[in-house]
Parts: sequence; structure tokens; C-alpha cells
Amino acid sequence: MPSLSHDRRGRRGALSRGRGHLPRWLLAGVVIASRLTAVTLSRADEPRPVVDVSVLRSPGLPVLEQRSGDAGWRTACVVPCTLRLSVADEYRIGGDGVVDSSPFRLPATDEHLRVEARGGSPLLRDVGTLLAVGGMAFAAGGGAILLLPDDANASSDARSSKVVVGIGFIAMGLLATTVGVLARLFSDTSVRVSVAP
Amino acid sequence: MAVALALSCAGCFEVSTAEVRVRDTSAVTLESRDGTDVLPVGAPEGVVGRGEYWEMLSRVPYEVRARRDAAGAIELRCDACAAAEFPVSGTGVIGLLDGQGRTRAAPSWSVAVDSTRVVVDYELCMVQGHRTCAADLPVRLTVPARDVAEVRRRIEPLRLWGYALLAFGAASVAAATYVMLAPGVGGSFAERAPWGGAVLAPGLVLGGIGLWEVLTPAREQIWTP
Repeated sequence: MPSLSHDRRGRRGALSRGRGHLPRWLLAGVVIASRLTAVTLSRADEPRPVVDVSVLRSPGLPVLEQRSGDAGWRTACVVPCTLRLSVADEYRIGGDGVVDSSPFRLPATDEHLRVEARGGSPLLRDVGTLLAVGGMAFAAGGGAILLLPDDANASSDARSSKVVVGIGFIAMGLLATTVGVLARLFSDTSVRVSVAP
Repeated sequence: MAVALALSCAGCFEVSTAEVRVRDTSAVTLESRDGTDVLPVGAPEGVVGRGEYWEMLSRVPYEVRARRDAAGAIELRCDACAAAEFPVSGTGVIGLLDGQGRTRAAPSWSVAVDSTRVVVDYELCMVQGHRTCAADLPVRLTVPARDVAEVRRRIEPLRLWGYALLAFGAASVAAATYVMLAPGVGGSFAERAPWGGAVLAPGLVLGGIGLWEVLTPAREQIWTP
């Protein structure tokens, strides 16, 4: 026990008084404070442009969402809106009943900016997915019908019918897949960022 | 295939609408979709469109007029449309803006809000034929931004679809009960149970989705200038 208490005293002494160093907690505090100050200063220095956010045509309840660093998305405003935004953060157009746009950043400028978006429909996107997946399954079914070996006793009519059914399945499947892919493409939420005139 | 698609996407049918609340109804204007003023500020009446629709073997001329009453309400009137007979059916009056300053709900997609004005596009039909509109009426209501009190957007499941799924579920339960329990159906209960189950399971799933569609509350968002 005496050695332990001596040890403790010795260590403290070495850190605080013995060699003239600052206490560890104080050092840690100074480091954290300097980092925070640096972040605050850099945030204060960065431009915070005024941004007009508009969603001209949109289904659902569109909002502008904002994400700082590793934090989650939070609602910045119900669109259309005009507000000052940080260029350091990420943004997207989202909301209930609206397909989320890809995240975007604002250009580092103090000029008045404009964000124009067109909201995509989740219903169209879901139907597109179903059509694409269902169409591919349909086409695969058609391929399987064509690849199935013919019955040795099958008549020529039956064989040609099998080919017709197989090709029909493939054609319908490809058509549904194409419509589905197009529906998915058109259901995206698009965003355009520009400097306001 | 359409039915399969509809059933596989049973829970994803939602409808989103928007309505505008206006402070000063007299500032609201009505235009045709090509930009022609129908009811400018202060005007009590204007012609929205004229045309003809087929009623069995004869053509019936019609005229749709927009009218603004003393309270500021705007409505479309078409007397000839109201008199439409088989095989078409017509509507005589469609209100676009009521006296309290509330616009007719439109699909959210048709409501454009910008910094200067709110524009609501309507695709109205005053004479409905078989799957087609015999007297369509594309009009545009414009409200200056300073007169907009709020835009109320609303999203809710398609209730009609929910009721249809619920009915399908109820019918499936009835059919399964009949298959499993009716004395007239041959075989023992153990033999009939799998068939009844095969009818019951999808019915319960779709009925459950229908119940969800019927009971899910609407979500609302209010935008104010």
C-alpha cells in the first residue's frame, strides 16, 4: 500500500508539478477546446448562401432534408422555402410520398442560390420495380419453355405451339421489363442547383 | 397480369392531394390552360369553353361558364351538361373555390407553388362518356403568393382499393368456410381443410392489407408562405 500511494503521488508529480507539465485533464481540455474552436471558426468562415428551394411538381409531402457530418437526415424546411444554408452540409429532397433525391451539396459561394427539384412518385417506382422483376421472370419462363426438350411423340403443331408460347413469354417479359425500367427512371427525384439570376 | 400486379402491390396505392387556403378570394383568377383569362380579378363571370357532345344519335351543344359570387366563391356551370342523358352522364356545377377561400382539392402533382403565385391545374370533366370524357375542361386557378394563407398537402391510402381488398378477403373467408364446413361438399374435414386453407390464406393476407389501407390515417403537411 505505501508503495502504491507513493507511486500515485510520484506519477501525479511527474505530470503536474515535478517537471513543470500541465495536468493531463487540462491538456485534454485544451486540445478539445482548440479543435472545437477550429471547427467553429471554419464553420464561421464558410459561406452560408441564401437558397431558394422549390419543388414545382411533386406528389406527396416534399421537404428539404439536411445532414451534418455523420448525423441523420433532418427536415430543414417544407418546400418551397428560402433560407440560409451551410455549404458544409449535405442536402436532399425527400419526404413522405416522395422518392428521395440523391444527396447533393451547395457550391461554396455567398451568392443567392436556387435549388429546383421535380419530385418522383414512389408508386411509379414500385410499379416499375414490379414490372421489371416480373418481366424478367416472365422472359426467363419463356426461355425455359423454349429450352425444354420436346416430347418425342409430340406433333409438329405441338412443337410450333411451344415455340410460339416461349417467344410470346419472352416478348411480353422484355416489354414489361422495358416499361418497368423506364418507370423507374422517370420516378427519380431530380434536383438542379444554380445561381439565382 | 394487371390483377397480379395490382395484388402484389396491394399496399402501395396512395393518393396525394393538395388544397390552397386563400385570404382574399377576389384576387383569385381563372385561366384556360393555354393562358387565356377566363375570370380575371374583379370579373363576375366568363366563358370557359364551348363544344358539343354526342348523346345517342344527336350532337348537343354546351357552354361552360365560370361564375364568381358575392362571397368570392368560384364555380363552373354548364346547364346543357347537367341535362346529358344516356349513354353519357353530366354534371351541372363544379365548385373550384368556396366562400371560405378553400380551393377544390387537386392531385398534389397539379399544384405548383413558387415565390410569386400558387397555380392549381384541374382536369375536369362535365360530361362523362363510356371511359372517356365528352366535355373535358382543363382550367387553371391562380392565387398570388401574398393571398395564400396556406397550402395543405395530404397523403392517404386509396380507401376504395382497401375496401375492394377487404371485400375480397371476406369473400375468401366465406368460401373457405363453405369448403371446409358445408355438409354438401364431399370428403372429410381433414380432406377438405387443405383446400379451404389454400383459399383462406391469400384471402386473409389481402383482407389484412385492405384493412390497413382503410384504417391508416391520412398524413398532412401544411405549407405557409
